[in-house]
Amino acid sequence: MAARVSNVLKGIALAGMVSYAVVREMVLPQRGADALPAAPHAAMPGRLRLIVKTAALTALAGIVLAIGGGLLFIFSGVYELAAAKPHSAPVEWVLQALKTRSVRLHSAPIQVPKLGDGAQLKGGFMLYRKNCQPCHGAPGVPAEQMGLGINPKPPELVTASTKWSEAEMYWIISEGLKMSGMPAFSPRFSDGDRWALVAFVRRLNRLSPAGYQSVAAEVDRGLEPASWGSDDEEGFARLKSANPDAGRRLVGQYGCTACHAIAGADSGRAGPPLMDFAARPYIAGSFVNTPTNAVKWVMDPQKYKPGTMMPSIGVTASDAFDMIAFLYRSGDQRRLNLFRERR
Amino acid sequence: MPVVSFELSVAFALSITLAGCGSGRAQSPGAAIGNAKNGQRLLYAYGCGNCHVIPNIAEARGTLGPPLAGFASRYYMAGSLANTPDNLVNWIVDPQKIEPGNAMPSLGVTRRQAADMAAYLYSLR
Repeated sequence: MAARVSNVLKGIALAGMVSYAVVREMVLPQRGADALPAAPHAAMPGRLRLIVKTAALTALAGIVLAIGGGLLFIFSGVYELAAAKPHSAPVEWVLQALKTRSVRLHSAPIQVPKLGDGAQLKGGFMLYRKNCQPCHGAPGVPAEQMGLGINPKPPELVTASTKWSEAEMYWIISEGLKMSGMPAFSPRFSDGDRWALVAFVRRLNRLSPAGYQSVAAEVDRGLEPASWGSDDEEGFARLKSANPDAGRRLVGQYGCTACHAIAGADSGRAGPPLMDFAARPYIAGSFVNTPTNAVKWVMDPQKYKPGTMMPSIGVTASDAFDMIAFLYRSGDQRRLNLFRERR
Repeated sequence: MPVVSFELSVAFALSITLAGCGSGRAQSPGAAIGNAKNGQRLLYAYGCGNCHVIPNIAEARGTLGPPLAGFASRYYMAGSLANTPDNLVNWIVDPQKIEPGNAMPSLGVTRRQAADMAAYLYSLR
């Protein structure tokens, strides 16, 4: 404790000496110069000189106090680094803003190669399961103990591709992120391996929990996975000709709002709210949220989850497409855009 | 610390008494189940906010699962279960046992911890 206090005092003394030296350099020569009529600033009126001097001294006092206070803050040890406690809101905001901007800027020059063939996805899956899943988990698979305890929490990566571009993901995987627990894989993983990871993480939003398990089972048996999840091009094509305004009326007519809170309608409280349905990666906790799956679910939920509270009430395919078009219209569109704007 | 836990147990006993009396005052149903304050910490610690939007839990902005605001007024949970304290605790402890293949992982939460989390979720009206 005594050593700590003496360190703090030393720091303050140092700051004091530095500022004294600065003041002497700035102010004292001026005083001397007052006597010399030839000095250029002698023309400065006395009042102005006083204001400038006061301002300079005030600024210096502020700096001295800030340095002293900062050192006191650091060396007293009052700031709690416990990962068990979340960051305060301002600190979290700073870290988040820093992360987003820094990754965006530094990943800008990266050229993205063509991604996503089967062999690359398989390689990416194997690397993911071994190196990423322990902290980030996977659909229906928990992170391991060390991952659960990290602060900030390693994010789930099913929705990662709605937040980060391929170049940004590649940069994060390669370089890691200071102050987050995200390691840099850069010199130890080859370029190809890091791109394979990007390709697989981009694919995660096409995989249901069951889809992830079947990929894992097939890879373990030495097979090529039969499916990396559907892009549902057909469903998205049909969605284009659906009528969201009709869907809005139908949602009321079929009584969906009795159980679900839906944008612009009454808030039912039996089922989950559907305000941000476009952003939700899964339907009924289990199926990838694509137009075809959503329509199938709306038409006959009892077929896909016998015993679910949602009744099969004879919705036609055309009505279901209209309603899904309506539900997809509200909320964050980034997830849907990943399907719509395929490279 | 002992003082705090004493206060908590008084509050706990009081809430049970009040609930038992069937007094007209609306008591959070969570108060009788567990410690909501501790539940709030646990919901952060297990990273529940990674997938769920949960009011007043740090970093809880996840979009993978359903938002949990107003959870106390939800009639059902997990699609097919009545929203009761027992069902909720069982679900938090081992969702993969109740519905294999759903997206929510079984994280190794103990029953006691799940009860505290449930107490917090039932404070969300």
